Amino acid sequence: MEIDVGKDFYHRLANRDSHQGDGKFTAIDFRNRFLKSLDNENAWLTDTEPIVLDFANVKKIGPSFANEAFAYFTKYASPEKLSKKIVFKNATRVQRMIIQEELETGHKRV
Amino acid sequence: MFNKIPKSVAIPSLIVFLITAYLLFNPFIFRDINTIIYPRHINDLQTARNYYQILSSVLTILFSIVGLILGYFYYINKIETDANNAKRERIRKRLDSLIAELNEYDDLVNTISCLNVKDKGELKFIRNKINRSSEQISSQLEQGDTLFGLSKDEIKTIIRIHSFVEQNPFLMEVDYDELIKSDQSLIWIIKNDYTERMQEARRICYCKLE
Repeated sequence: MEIDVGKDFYHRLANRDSHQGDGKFTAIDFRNRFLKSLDNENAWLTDTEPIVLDFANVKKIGPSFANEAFAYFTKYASPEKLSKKIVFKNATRVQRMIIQEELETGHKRV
Repeated sequence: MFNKIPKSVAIPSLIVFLITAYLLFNPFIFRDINTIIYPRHINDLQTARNYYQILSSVLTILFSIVGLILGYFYYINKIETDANNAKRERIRKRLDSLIAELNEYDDLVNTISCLNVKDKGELKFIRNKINRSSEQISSQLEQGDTLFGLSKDEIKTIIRIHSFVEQNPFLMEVDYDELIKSDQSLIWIIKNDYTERMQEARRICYCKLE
């Protein structure tokens, strides 16, 4: 499955939840919409096709968005395993670093 | 200037110099010691004049060639030095710009952490500016990571500042009333943590300035 994040969701990935910024296009919305299938332990036990997130049209990704959308899954798997299940295509070097940093530090809210 | 002359040029140049010195002083050396190694006998002024005239012509050609070779390497070296200076200047300008943006970011965060905010509207405005400033820093790092000469870990150190700020509810989430009533000791801890991160990022940038 491949998702053009910029077109299918939004080009500015900044808000963690409805309390942050303008409260729109939040990481929780994104997770529920595109990564719902990964939100259970069984999904991480089997080898399935990775979800490819195309960042070509994404202008910005904030640390809190990355944390809530992706680092949330570190409760199921290590960052390395997570990177195999969720592939970040066409992300810039800094965008990758922001995501990687959040994956390494883990989910910060329960 | 000539620090990059290759050995293949330096050694022949030294040999030419030694031969020249030998040929110049040849008539005066070894005359009475060993006539075998003294190749020609100069017994009168005419012979000496002819000898030095020939020597002068040969050396002129020889030095011209050596001069051309050295000139070529000087030219190549100069181009390289100019390119390095231009690159250093570009790095300095970009780092200046990055440091200015970090300072701007720092001022904005300090405005909130020092509770120097008048009302809800201003708080929202400052938070918005913090986000814009972080985007500016990210795009600068994006465009110039190789030119800055920053390592992956150094870029991460700069990125971590906004990660810390953005995910800190006190700095970026709570409303104005809650912010004003916040526990001062908590603010102090956050400020210290933030300041350390910012200082580290600045130190990285200043180190790259040389």
